[in-house]
Amino acid sequence: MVSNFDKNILEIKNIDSVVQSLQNFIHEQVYDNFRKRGLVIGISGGIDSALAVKLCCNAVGKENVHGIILPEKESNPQSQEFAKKYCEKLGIKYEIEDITPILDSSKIYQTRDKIVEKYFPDYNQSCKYRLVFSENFDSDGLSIPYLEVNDENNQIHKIKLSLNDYTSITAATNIKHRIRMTRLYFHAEKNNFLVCGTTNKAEFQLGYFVKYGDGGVDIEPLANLYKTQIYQLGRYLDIPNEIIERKASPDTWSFDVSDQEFFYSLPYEIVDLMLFAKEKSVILNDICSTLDLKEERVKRILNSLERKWKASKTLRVFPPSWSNKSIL
Amino acid sequence: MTLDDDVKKIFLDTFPTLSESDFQWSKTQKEYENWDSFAQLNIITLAEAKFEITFSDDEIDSISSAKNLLDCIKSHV
Repeated sequence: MVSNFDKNILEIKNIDSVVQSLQNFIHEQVYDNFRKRGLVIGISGGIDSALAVKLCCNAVGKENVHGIILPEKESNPQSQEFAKKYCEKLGIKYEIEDITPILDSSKIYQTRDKIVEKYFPDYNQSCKYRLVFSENFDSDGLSIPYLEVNDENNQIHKIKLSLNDYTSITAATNIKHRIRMTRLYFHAEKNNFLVCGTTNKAEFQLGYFVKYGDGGVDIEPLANLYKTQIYQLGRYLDIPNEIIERKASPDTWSFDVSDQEFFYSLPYEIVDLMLFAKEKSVILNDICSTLDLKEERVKRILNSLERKWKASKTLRVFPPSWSNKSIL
Repeated sequence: MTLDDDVKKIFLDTFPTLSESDFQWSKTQKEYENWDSFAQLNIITLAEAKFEITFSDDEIDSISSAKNLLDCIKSHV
């Protein structure tokens, strides 16, 4: 039980020790635990991968870190630009591989476009689209995800998909992450390197990653760090401001969407504090007064986090395997 | 089939582990183990297709039991 729950509770006080410990962890995993030569990491142009690659460089030396930038035709061009610039700043070896042809051959764009066309017959290649999920914590009912199409006249159309179409469009999109994973492992195996993950604590706990996609890695140094702590560490380790100040986004939709609009429905600062409160069983009154939120709203947010945690269980576990020692 | 039967069927289709004998009109979303946003989406879109109606965002957010859904549909048809 935590008695001093306040808005700064997640601030890292012993930042030097935490950085050193993270670097020790990475070094130990590479050389002692897995006996590899270095690390491959997918660089997205966002804060998580920027922090992870910096820690990797400090841990094993920049010559043993290989950055892979994997854009596709729907990626924000700024992502590639920032990723490339940062790799150059760090002085690591990096490669840029456009995965659009692979995704094209998997018909992922075609699959998604067909679904969008079904609901929005005026759809054409100049339209952009995204999925959004805005949870309303003002009532007990549950919100639903929507498709938003931004047409050629810049008009946004909010469309309800059937569950089957929603899961189909999501499954097709997740192929992007899984293709990236296969490219990272190609480079890792070729060099006898490990693949370093970049999933943070909120993403890991709430299932905001793709199993065998961005979750398909050998080590996850950031999985116990809240996003707010990642920003703090990023500033401490001189990650460029253009990366720190960028809106956190999944960068998988042609119509730009933030993590908040797509998944959390809340700013990271609140998600982190609520997750912490849930994990440490902070009493309801303390959460309400610290975050200046009404009790009912806090309860609904906690329920939502619990639902996401339960629904994403399969993402966090290895496949259960059969074993029965009494008969075999 | 009556309107009640249709709504009941939407719930039985959405929650395959829910048996007819366990179905309760007043049972709320929190009391269902697997009533999440996906289930909500399924309930809403099945009802909209079946009754050829469109729910508003506020209506969608307010649907948290079979009775809520039935009342909401009644206000449209």
